[in-house]
This record gives sequence, structure tokens and C-alpha cells, in this order.
Amino acid sequence: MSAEKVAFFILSGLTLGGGLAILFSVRLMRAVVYLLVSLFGVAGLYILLNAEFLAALQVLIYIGGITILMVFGLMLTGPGQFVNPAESRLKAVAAGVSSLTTAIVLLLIVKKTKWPAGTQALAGDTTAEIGRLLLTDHVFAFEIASVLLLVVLVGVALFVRLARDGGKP
Amino acid sequence: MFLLRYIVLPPLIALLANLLLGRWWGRKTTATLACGSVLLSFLVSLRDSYYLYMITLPETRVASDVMFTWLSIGRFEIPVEFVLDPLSGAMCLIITGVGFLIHLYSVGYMWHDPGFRRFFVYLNLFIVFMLLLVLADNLLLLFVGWEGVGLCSYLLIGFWHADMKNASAGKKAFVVNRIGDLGFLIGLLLVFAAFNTLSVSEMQEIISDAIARHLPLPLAPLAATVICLCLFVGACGKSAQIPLYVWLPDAMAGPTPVSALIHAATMVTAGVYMIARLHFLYAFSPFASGVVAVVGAATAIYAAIIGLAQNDIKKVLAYSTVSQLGYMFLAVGVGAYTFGIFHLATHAFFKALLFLGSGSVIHALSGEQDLRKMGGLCRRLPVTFWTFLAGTLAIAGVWPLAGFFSKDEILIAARLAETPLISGRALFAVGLSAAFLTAFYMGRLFVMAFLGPCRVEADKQHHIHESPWTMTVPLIVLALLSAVGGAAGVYHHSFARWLSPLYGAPDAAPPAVEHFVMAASLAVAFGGLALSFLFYLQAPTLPDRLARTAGWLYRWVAEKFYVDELYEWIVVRPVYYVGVAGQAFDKHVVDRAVNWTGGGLKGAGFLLSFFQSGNVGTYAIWFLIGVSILLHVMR
Amino acid sequence: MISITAADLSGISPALHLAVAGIAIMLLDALWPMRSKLLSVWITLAALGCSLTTSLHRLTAGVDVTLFNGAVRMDGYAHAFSAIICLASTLAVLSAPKYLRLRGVHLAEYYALLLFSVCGMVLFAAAEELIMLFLALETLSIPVYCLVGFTRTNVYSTEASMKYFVIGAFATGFLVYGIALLYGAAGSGYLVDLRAGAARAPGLFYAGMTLLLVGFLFKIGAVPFNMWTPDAYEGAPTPVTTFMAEAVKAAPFGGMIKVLFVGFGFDAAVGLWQPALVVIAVLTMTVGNLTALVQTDVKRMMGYSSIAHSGYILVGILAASKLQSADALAAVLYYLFVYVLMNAGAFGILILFSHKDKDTNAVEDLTGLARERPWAAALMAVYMLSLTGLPPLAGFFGKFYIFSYAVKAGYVPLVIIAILNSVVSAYYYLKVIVAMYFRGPEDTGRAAVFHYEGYSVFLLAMLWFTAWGILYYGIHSEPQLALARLAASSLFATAP
Repeated sequence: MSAEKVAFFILSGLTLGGGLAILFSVRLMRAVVYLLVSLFGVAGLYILLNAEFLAALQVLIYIGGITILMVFGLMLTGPGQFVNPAESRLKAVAAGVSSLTTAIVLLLIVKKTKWPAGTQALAGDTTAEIGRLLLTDHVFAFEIASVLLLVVLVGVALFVRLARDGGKP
Repeated sequence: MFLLRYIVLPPLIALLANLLLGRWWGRKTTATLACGSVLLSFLVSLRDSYYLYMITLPETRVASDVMFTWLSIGRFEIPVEFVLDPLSGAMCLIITGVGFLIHLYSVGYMWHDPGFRRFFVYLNLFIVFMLLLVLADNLLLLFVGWEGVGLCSYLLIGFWHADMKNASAGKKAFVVNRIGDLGFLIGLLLVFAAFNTLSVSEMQEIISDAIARHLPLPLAPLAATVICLCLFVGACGKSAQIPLYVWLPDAMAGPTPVSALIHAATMVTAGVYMIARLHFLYAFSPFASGVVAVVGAATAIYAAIIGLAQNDIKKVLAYSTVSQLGYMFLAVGVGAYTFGIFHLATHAFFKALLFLGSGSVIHALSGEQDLRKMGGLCRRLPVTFWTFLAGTLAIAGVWPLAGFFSKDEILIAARLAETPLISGRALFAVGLSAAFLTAFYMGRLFVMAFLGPCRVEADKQHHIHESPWTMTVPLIVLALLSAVGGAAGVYHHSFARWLSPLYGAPDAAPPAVEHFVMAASLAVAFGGLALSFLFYLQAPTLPDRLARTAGWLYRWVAEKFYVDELYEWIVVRPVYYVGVAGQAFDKHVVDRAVNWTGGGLKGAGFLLSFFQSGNVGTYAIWFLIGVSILLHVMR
Repeated sequence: MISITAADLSGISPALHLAVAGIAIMLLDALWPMRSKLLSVWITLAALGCSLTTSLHRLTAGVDVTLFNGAVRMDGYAHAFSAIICLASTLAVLSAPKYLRLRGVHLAEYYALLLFSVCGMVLFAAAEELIMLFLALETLSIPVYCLVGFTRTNVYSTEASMKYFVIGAFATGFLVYGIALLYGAAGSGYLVDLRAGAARAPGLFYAGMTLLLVGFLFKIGAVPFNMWTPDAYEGAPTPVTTFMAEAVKAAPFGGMIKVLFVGFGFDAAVGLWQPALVVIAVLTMTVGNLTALVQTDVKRMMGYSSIAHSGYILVGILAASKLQSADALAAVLYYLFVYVLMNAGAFGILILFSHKDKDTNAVEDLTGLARERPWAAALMAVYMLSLTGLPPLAGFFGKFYIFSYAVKAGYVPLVIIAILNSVVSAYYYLKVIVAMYFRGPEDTGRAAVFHYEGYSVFLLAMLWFTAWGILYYGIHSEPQLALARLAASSLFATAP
């Protein structure tokens, strides 16, 4: 077993284990920490795929940004232990079964697929390449993404404002 | 030069004027506009029909008027095109003629109603849609008229909506009609798939072209049967045939002129008209025609039996209408289109007359509709009495009134018919029995309402009055039409000759059959009437009078009574119970089936809304189940 | 080097107008908050009008340009959708001001968010590539999540917004997954290249296709991805429901039809989506109509009705794909156009009679309307009858065209089910008419509950326009159909 394979299994284990731990953790704060673990695993997998830039972004944005934001949010919302509300057992079982079925069907599909043999190696600096593509082929997507982000900002600001003013402008 | 569009336009303009400006003028102007416009339409149709008649070659008696291109499906354009041929001409004359009389009558009948203007707007709208229906060459345009008259009928049934029962009757009419329309629409789409056109004249051309050039027909026999049956489902809904007749008796909740115009004379005959219009399709499918005949005959007798046990004057007439419509379907089912339409015309006269007469009675009795609380009105309402008598005799089939001729022709055609489903003799027997029952229940209605002692409640007695002239004049005119309309139609076969460009000259029936049927139908007509007079007029008073005279007569009377009792047990009771059973079947099984269908659908709806728990987690679970099924299927 | 040319900008101008106007409204609100409200209504209307006229003009002129290195294509099809969506949004905007003012939430953000959403919709039908498709879909969805919760003080509104958002994010997850799988199978994100994936990696391709389809079906509210619809419709402020019921409903079809026809195509090898859609169409019509039967709330009922209408539209899409004819697809576009008019009108009446404290939502609330407000009742009756599919109203012809092409394509059982469904639907649309015309306060035992506090010119204009459109385009549908045919044939020019 090559070192790469060992790394792959460890990182996948982190990702999946983190995900499962989120599912079964009762306290929200712990769930956030498990999320962090899971996201780290994904970042590692990116590195294995030679996508260093993506890995860096993953660490910066998801781990450094979003999970930390979540922790802040939980801490600022007030004291007390944030606990997942208990769901009915029937629903938990139904959810489990339906998710498992979907996962199994997808797994079967993946297993059946003949993957294209040699994937072509990316040439050199992925960061530069992504930057180039974003400003040439995908420049419009890039622009629209900025509109999308603007929308999200406006939406958040609006909700905060409505909540603060009690609906009065 | 034909002025087809000016047949439709006057009522349209009048209704728009009354709708938009009506609030600024009084009832008189509203009434004048509404009635005058229909009269104008009548005159224009009369003129156009005359011009049509003046065309020497009968085969070319068709006029058309394209208003504008309406829409296009793919590369096929559908113009708004009116076509006048002998069939639509006859229909136009009936609609505008009888329509005008009923408009006039309504002026008196509705004068004190707060919804006077609204009523006339609906009524004019109805006339517009009905004319659209009969003048349309394109089936889609016909369907527009078809739905439009349904809508007006629904609005007018629920006109007095303060009463919740009326509203639900209107709703029932609409929903049952939608079931019929379902069949119609499917038939329409199948016609389009088969012919690539919805124009009746083009369809006819395609067929005659294929026959002339010995090409394969565009229609396989099975396809023709399916199309015809689908269309017939639509006709059943509109024309109240088994099993979709349930809405018509309830529809009597509307004002009486509406019952006369829509639910007796015009709209309910649209199904008959449609089949007569598409006779060339039905010619391809003896099976479908047989179904039409059987359903028609079954409806004729079934509704007549129920009619025996009704005590509401309008309900009796409603079941009678259903039964008479059955006759018309029987006629078109056995291929006697001419006589189906002929009966449609005479029925329009006498049934409109009967409804208007009953309206006059109800009006005089301050809204009383129960036959058991009438009686002895002959002296108080002379005009109504005499005209009603004419109508009763006409529908019972007494020579020489209108009903005799048209019913007679249908019975002859049924007797000679050859359908793959049932023998002509059976159809004839059923038709004849229904004729007997018709005479009986009409006689009963007439006696209970006009003859015998007065059973009107005391507080209503003092203001029994004859109706104003706007109401009596239409009665008199319709009575005249009911009296002579039939004879005029058979005089030198004038009606049949008028329709011969469509259906060809009718074959002469063998004289033996003709005479037999004539004798039989006269016998049942008189028999039914006489029996009803005996039961409902003679029996209650006879014993008292006779008991005071000679002894031998008394014994005879006693014996007579014995016979009456016998009749009572052998004839009346069974018939009555069959009638009651029919009504019970109607109320408990048919109605309930209709309600259950609705209830079942609703129940399914409730069940489905349980899935809608409001819980996002549950939604996600369903979502996932959907995804996994889809993934599995598409794999 | 940034590769944006002037031609790109001019080509995309229908979307550009909207985004720029949205940003302008935000700036205006910051700089001049006192006057920004009414002004932003006018700016919104102007921007929508510009986009509408530009799209219509380019549609008739036959403009067909591929922009931004093939990311977006503004052809007749995209222009037609742009026009339908701009019309729908204009109607929705017209219904909003008074309602929002009465509730004290008349904010400029409302119009800005709405414009951004419309911008996303226009791009959604124009996208030629999966990433663009995804971004456009999100740009159209996220503002709607916010708008649903716009009356923040109303707990139902907030709840609806939250639910819609959560389940929407869930659906987006599947959509993105599908995009990833398709990209993996085809090796390219461009729609025209997708089909190649069916041969290269069939398993991945079908899984990707399914998941992408799931994302679309969620947006159009097809069963079993429909659960959000009634909740969101009921909870949202009524002008937002109007927007959702027409624009947000029509727009996803733009992207969906394009992906299905151009991306997947009709060959037996890749046309597996057709049988799946048949089943989904049947389920969608039936579940939507049956559940609508038992609703007592008009907004909720219209939510289910919109599900049912999605089913009819799916029938049209199936017919068009089977026949591969532009005429059949034109029927679908015409249906969408008519659908927009009918829904805008129906919700407009609810808005007309809503007041500060209570929305007029329940069927019972409309009891006796015909006596008090005959014209409003007549308009509502027109909308309801058109939704039922009664000729000669436009709603009938929408259905008739679709069904007649479906019969031609051989989907006779499907059409019979669809017509049966439309019979069932007559019942619940009729409930509204019965309440308005045939019942009075004496039947319900309570006083008349609808409120009429003066009218707004915007709203009245909207109501009359929609009613006129339903009557006029029913009788005179030819010009609309000609435009639709132009649009449809431009899509088929690119389809395989």
C-alpha cells in the first residue's frame, strides 16, 4: 500500500467520521467542531488531487471563516447548551433508510462506472490557471457570482434590519 | 347576401349596453333592449333562412361568413366562421323565436326582482353562446358555445342564490357538465388527430373525397366508435341522459323562464344537435349509434317512471324533459336525424309552453310549486288553463297537435330500425310504453293543477290572478305553435324536405307499419290521459254523486270502486312504487355515487395533505425517497 | 486580459438593465432614504419595461448571439423567456406597493431583491453552460427566500422563508452534485457537449442527469419535490406569492427545457428522461389537484393548483420532445404566458381586499363579494374560469394546444389523465366563484370579511390588464403563438 493510499484512507476517514459525528452529536458546539474535522479531511483530499489552491481556499474560507463564524454565532446567541431537538424515532429511521438507499444507489453507479483511464495532469501552477480561466472563459460567471454575493449581503442586512426595527423602516 | 354575423351581434350588443350603461336607465329600456335584440336576431335568421330557401339547388344551400382568423394550431388556421345550412337555420329560428317569447315572458315574471338587469344580461349572453354553438362550423368554436351556454345555465340556476340549495344545484350542474365535457374534449382531440382539422365541412369533404376516390378512410371503424362514444358522453352531460341526467331536475331551482329556455327548449338539446351535425361520423359506427339509441330509449322510460311520483310541478316537467330528450336520442341513434330534430322543434314549443304555464301558475300562487296544494285553477287562470291544455295534449301525443306527429315518426323509425345492439321492436316497445307514461303523468299534472277542488292554502287564495300580457301573449303564441307546428312540419313533408340536403329524403315507411304505429300511439295517448283523469279527477268525487242516485247505479259504482281498488293494487300502486323506487334509486344511489366520487376524491385529497405535515425534515425525507427512486429508475 | 467586449454587454442588456437598476436602487436608498420608496417602484418598472421591450424587439428581429466565450446565448428562446419573465415581474411589482405600505415594510430592498432575482431568471434561460446555469439559478432563488420572509413580524412569513430556504438548499445540493457528475462524465460543462457523456461514462451521466433533473423539478414544484410550495405560497406576503406563482414558476422551465432538449436530447440512448417525466407529470397533476380540493385557503389552494399546472406543462414538454416540433414547444411557451396572466390576476384580487391586520386568504373571506364589489368579483371569476380551462378564455387554449400536441405525439392516456384532472380542478376553482356569487354573509353566519380600503392605481392597472389579456389572447392568440414559434424554432435549431 502506497503512502498516497494510506493518506487517502486516513483523510476519507476524517471526512466521513466527522460527518457521522455531526449526525450523532447532541450539542451544537461539538457538532461545529466535528464539522471542522470533516472539512479538514476534504482539504487534505484536495491536496492529494494536486489541487493545492482549492485546498488553501477550503482551509481559509470554510475552516477559517465559516466554522469560526458559526462558533461566534453560537456563543453570541446567549448562554446555555445548544441541544439538537429530539426527533421522533420513526422519522429518524425513515431518514436513515432513505439516505442509505440514495447512498447505495449512488455507490452502485459509481462502482459500475468505467472511469476514464489516465487523467491528464494539470500543468504547473493551478492558482494561475484558475485565475486565468476566471477572467477569460468564465468571466461572466465570475461577474454573476459577485451579483449573487451582493444579493446575499442585501438579504442578510435586510433581515437584521427588519429584526431590529420590528418590521418598521 | 347573407347577414350571418348580424344574427349573433344584436344580443351581444344589447347585453354589453345593459351591462355597462344599464344602471343609468330603467327597467323598461333594459327590457326593450334585451327583447328587441333577440327579436331582431329572429328576423335576421328568418330572412337568411328564406334566402337559403330561395337557392334553387338544395345541395348548395350553405352560406358562410368568416369574421376573422381566430387562432392557428400548427399550420392550421381556425377562422371564426359562421355557417348557415338548413339544420343551423332551423336551430336559429327555434332559439331566437322561442327565445324571444321567453324574454318577453320574463319581463313580466322578473319585474319585481332586484336582479332584473343581471337576469337579462345573462339571458342575452345565453342566446349569444347558443347561436355561436349552432352557427359554428368549427368544432372548437362549437365547444366555445357549448361551454358558454353551460356557464350561463350555471349562473342562472344559481340566480336566486340566497337559497343555498340553488347554489349547490348550480354547482352540481357545472360539475356534472364538466364530466360530460371531458368526453367531448377527448373526442375533439381525437377528431383533430384523425382528420387534422376541426372544421365540420372539411371533415365531410375529406370523407366524401375518400369515398369518391376509393381511398382508405381517415378513420378506422374502432376509432370512429371511440370518437363517437366520447362525443356522446359530452352529449349525455349537456342533454341530461343516463347516467349524467342528475343535474337537470335540480336545475329547476332557477327562475322558471330559465327552465323553459335553457333546460327545456334550447341548451339541453345541444347534444342532439351535435350528433345530428356530426351524423356522417356516426354513420361509420353502427355500434356507437346503437349505444345512443339504447341510452335514449332507456332514459325516455326511466325518467317517465320517475315523473309519475313527483309532486313538484317543475320536477314533473323536468323529468318529462329528460324523457323527451331520450326520444330525440332514440331518433338520432336509429338514424332518423330529421325526426330527432323535428321532435326537438316541437318539444321546444310545447315544453317551453308548459314551463311558462307552470311559471304562470307559480306566479299566481305566490311561489307555490306543490301539486297537492293546487287544483281548480281553471276558472281563476283561464288563459293559462287553455294554453296549458294545448301543451298537455301536444306532449301526450294527441292528434293533431305537434307532439303526435314528431313522436309518431320517431316510433316508426325505431320500429324499423336495425341496430347491432337491440332489435327495433324492443326500442319501439320501450318508446311506446314511455309515451303511455307521458300521457299519464301529464294528465295527472294537469288534473291536479287545474281541475278538481281548489286545495290552495287559504292565505294564498285571495291573490290568485291571471298574469300580465307580457306573460300571456307568449303562452298564446306557443300554444298556437304547439297546436299547428307538428302538422305544418309533416304537411307535404316540409320539414323533412327542408333538412334533406343534409340527411336525404326520408324513406317512406310501409303503410302497414305506419298505420299500426299511429294507432298504437294514439291509443296509448288517450289511454294514458283517460286513466289519469279517472284516477285523479273522477275517483274522488264519483262515489258521492252516484250514491245519491239510483240503486243499480250505486251497485255499479260499488263495483266500479272495486275495479278502482283492483286498479289501485294492480296498476297504480306498482307503478307508484316503481316510481318511488326510481326516485329513491335516483336520490340514494345515483346522487350518492356522484357525491361519493366527489367525496372519494376529497378523501384522497385529505390523505395526500397528511404528507404535507409542515415539517421540513419530513419534506426532505420524501425528497430523498423521490431522488433514490428516480436514480434507480434512470440507472 | 479581461475578455468582455462591448458586443457582449449589448447582447446581455436585458439582464444588465435589471442588475444595474437593482444596484441603483440600493445606492438611492442609501443616499436619499426619504424619497427612495416610490422612486424605486418607478425605477423597477422602467428597468423591467426596458428589458421587456428589448427582448421583444430582439425576438422579432431574430437576434441570435453567443456571448462571453459561449457561456451565454441570447437567442429567440432566451429572449422569449426574458419577455415572459419581465412581464410576469412587472405584474408582480404592480401589486406590491400598497400592500407593503399598509404593513409598514415598504422598503427599497424589496425592489432591489426582486430585480436581482429577475436578472437571474433571464440568465437562466440563456445559460449555455452548467456553472452559469447554477449561478443563475441561485441568483434567482436566494432573493426569493428573502422576499418570502419580508414581513418579518409575521411569524408565518418567517417560518415559510426558513422552510423554503432549508429545503431549497437541500435541492441545490443535489443540483450541484448532478452538475459535478455530468462534468465528470462529459468532460465539459457546455450543454451541447453533455450528450457525449452518455457514451463515455453512462452510469455517471444518468446519475448526473437525474440529479440535475431533481433540482429543476424541485423548482417547478413537481411531485415528490413539491412539498415546499403550499407552505411558501401561504406564508409569503401576497405580492411575493404573486411573484412566485408566475415569474419564479415560469423561469425554471426556461433552463429545464433547454437542458433537456439541447443538453440531453431525444435519442433513445439519452432520452431516458422522457418515461420518467411521464410518471412525474401524472403524479404532479393528480396530487396537486386532489390536494387542492380540500384546501380552504385560496393562497394554499393556488399553491397546489400551481403544482397541477406544472404537470400540464410537463405534458407539453413531453409532447414537444416526442414530436420534436417547434409548434409543440410554442404551445408550452404560450401556456406559460397565459399562466402568468391568470395567476397574477387571481392573487391581485386577494391583495385588493387585504388590509393592514389581516390578509384576505380564506375562500370564506370572499363570501358575498359579487354583491358588494361586482367588478372585482367578475374579474376573479374570469381568472378562475380561465384556470379551469373554460373556452373562450386563454386558459382553455393553453391547455387545448398542449393537449392536442400530446395526442398527436401519441400520449393519449396521459392526455386523458390530464383532462380528468382538469375536470377535478373545476371543483375547487368553482368554490371561489360559489363563495363570491352564490353565498352571502347569511350563509356563513359572519359579517363580510373582505376589506376594501381604496385602491391603488398600480394594482387596478394590473388587474384590468390581466383580465383583458385573458379575454383578448383567448380570442386572438395568433400573434403570441407566432412569437412563441419563433422562439421555439431557435431552440430547435441548436437541439440535435
